[in-house]
Amino acid sequence: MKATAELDTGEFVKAFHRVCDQMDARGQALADQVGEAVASEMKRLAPAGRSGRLRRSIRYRVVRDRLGWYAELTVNVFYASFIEWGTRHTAAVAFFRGGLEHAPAAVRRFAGRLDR
Amino acid sequence: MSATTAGALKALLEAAGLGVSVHRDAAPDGAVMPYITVSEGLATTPLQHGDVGDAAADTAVAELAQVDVWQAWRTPEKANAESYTLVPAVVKALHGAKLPTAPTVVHGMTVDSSVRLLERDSNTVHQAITVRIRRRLM
Repeated sequence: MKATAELDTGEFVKAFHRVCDQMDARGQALADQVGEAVASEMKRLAPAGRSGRLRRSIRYRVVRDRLGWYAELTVNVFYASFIEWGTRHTAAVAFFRGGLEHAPAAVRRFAGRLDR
Repeated sequence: MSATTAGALKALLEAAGLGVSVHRDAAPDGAVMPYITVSEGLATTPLQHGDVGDAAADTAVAELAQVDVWQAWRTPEKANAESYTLVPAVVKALHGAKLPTAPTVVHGMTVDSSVRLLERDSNTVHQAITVRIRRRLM
């Protein structure tokens, strides 16, 4: 006996693409929220100084590569490394590393919200 | 037994036979390079052990500390003064060490990163080593 079945995968493929698009949008939203939270924490930890240049220079942007979305954090003043790592005459103020330590908790918090 | 995490790191490095002096936070005035300084509590974040709200669960934290190796960059004759073996020896002594003299139970210690910073004006090579210590809070 011989049986033939035709399977229309069109609907399945469409639904699959829809789910992928939703996951992609959630990944972007998560990277954005975590980036903002970590940047805020870095600004909180950074010494204020007189001009506030260091705090103002802390930025984040959401970028994407083949592995997915992520937040890229930058500090754009030349003396940032002297503050972060310290010098012979000044103690280190680890505002960047301290801010990054905040990232796992931020991921847990925002990922939980996205599920709802 | 050390009173602080930095004190325990200092004791560990002094026992490693590196041949350099180790100080907490900052070296005294006039200290001759090379020397090492240890700073604790750069960031301390809680680690979740057990159920949320379980009073009997361990309160564990991850503490970041920084070990700085300070060396002269050049001799007065402009020759190289930096030891290229000192920093790897320090990293080797730190990574995975048990830190037995710490004031609380240490579950593990790892070296997160090591950055070399050159301070030309003061003829100093500064190697900042970030250490992550997973330990009980108290």
